[in-house]
Amino acid sequence: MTARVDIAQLTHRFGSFTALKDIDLTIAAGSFAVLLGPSGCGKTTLLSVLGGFLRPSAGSILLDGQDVTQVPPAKRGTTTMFQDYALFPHMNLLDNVGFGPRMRGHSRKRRRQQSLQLLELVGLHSEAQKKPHELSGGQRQRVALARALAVDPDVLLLDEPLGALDLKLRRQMQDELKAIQKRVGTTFIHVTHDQEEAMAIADEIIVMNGGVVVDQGSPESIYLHPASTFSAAFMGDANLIDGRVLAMDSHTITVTTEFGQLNLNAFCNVNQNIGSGDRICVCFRPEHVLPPGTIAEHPIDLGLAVIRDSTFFGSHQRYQLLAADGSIYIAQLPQSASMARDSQMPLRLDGLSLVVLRAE
Amino acid sequence: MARRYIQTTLTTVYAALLYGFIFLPVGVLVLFSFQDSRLPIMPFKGPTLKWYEAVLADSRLIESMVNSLIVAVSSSLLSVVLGFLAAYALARFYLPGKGWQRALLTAPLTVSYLIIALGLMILFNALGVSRSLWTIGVGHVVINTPLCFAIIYSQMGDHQINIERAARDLGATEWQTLLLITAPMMLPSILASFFLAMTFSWDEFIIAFLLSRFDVTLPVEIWGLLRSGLSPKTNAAGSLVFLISIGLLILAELMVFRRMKKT
Repeated sequence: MTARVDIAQLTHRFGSFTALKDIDLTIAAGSFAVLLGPSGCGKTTLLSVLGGFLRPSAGSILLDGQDVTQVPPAKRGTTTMFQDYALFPHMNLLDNVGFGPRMRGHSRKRRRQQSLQLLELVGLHSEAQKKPHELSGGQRQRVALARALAVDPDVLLLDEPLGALDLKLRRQMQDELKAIQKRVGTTFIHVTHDQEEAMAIADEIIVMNGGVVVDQGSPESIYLHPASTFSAAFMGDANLIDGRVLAMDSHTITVTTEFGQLNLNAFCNVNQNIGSGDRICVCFRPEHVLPPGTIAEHPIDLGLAVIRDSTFFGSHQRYQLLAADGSIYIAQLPQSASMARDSQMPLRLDGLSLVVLRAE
Repeated sequence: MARRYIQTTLTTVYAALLYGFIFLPVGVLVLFSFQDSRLPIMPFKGPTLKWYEAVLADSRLIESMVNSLIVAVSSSLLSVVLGFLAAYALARFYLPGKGWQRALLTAPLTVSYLIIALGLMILFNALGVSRSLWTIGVGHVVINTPLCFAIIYSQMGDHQINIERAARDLGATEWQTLLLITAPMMLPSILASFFLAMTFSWDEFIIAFLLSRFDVTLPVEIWGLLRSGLSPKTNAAGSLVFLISIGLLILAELMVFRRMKKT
């Protein structure tokens, strides 16, 4: 089963601390949504409110249009997969997975069949008689997933489920989670602070900071068209140049920065509601620095920069550039680029990839 | 080298003295239960099993042993249930004056058994309740509930909260969570506190003495035997009490230890 999730004007306070501020959000049925943000941004609080473990101070939560704000966890269509898995230590895997169906009064035979099917889905049907402590971290995680899916939830809430796994296993589980989500079609809402994980699994990323949603969209759109300097910097590396808008027309945006006046092409991504006189940030990704000698349609020239450091990453190289404005910028150049430390290179950007964001 | 030798000798002597001090009285008691004469005093003659035969043939002793067992099992069961529920409430819910309530629950551990027995005696008199195995049982619940509470409460960790939460999220009611998840999860400490409560009740004397009348428990019966003078038969009865206590402890060790290894 699956359901659309609507969150309307949701606010939650812990004493005098406001953990969630006026959140309005819609998550499409059957999508894999990721709540992404640094620790303390309110993402876990939002998940607890969605799961029914916290009653919000104000606002409402709707599952497929039905208000469930006051409904206890067991009675709403959500199931939570806890960060520490919270498996029942005294039961074998079959009984762990069959617990939800048992509480729903399903017969022993039906439960067994159902649990075995789900254990097969997560690749653990041969371990059905084992107890949780006999399993590895990744296997426990799968059991927790099977147990949560056994009650056929409309929405599965995952609280940093991959946090305790090592990197390699985490990447592998990401792929598996995504594949299972696509198979069962349940709406998944997944909390993480790892932006790579978010990009790897999400259909939709919701970036949170300080208790508010600062950006929402597909991984691609958040990376390429971030809505704020926060989400630009949180999703991957971002280079930011402070400035002010001098003039705007349908072709060009003229901004003044430490590099002098820049004439930006209006095709680059500009935040809505930015007008003349506003303080802005010009944001570019390391891969948007043009390798020396490249011809581009709309290059932006920022003068010469001194190479302070370089690192070889196999598929590419990463340079730290000291630009004319005295700041350090990060550039990602092809593997073949071979420039010595302390030598100079022109800092030129691909003008169509720039993003103009309101300064925060 | 010499210094180390002296050190080793001294610590060995110290340990021997310590264990001797603790176990010699019991050893002597057990030894003279095999005494082949009318008095359990030096020199040792024997061995003989006739005093054990006398104990087992003494219907009053056997009856009091059965009484002790009934009181021990039932009062320990009740203590464990009460202690577990109190621990669950204090560990999992917001209660007013939590610290004070916890202190109140464990306070009886510091009160002498004599005072508890006196208090209960006065209370039962005032209520017109006549002294019986029931009143002894109540006394033992009073002394053992704090113990069971303390043991179980100490093992209720925060990591189990999410497990209980998961059970409720999957549709379990409060009672189902308690019976199907929390209690089985806490089984090692529940068993440990049960067996400990049983050994405490089994050889408790003062409360059993002051709160009993016609039906008495084994320690009270042994006290009765002692009043008529020393006899190896008393030693034999005492040895049996000791043997059963040890048996209970071993049982607790085996069951709890095995459980703990499994989970």
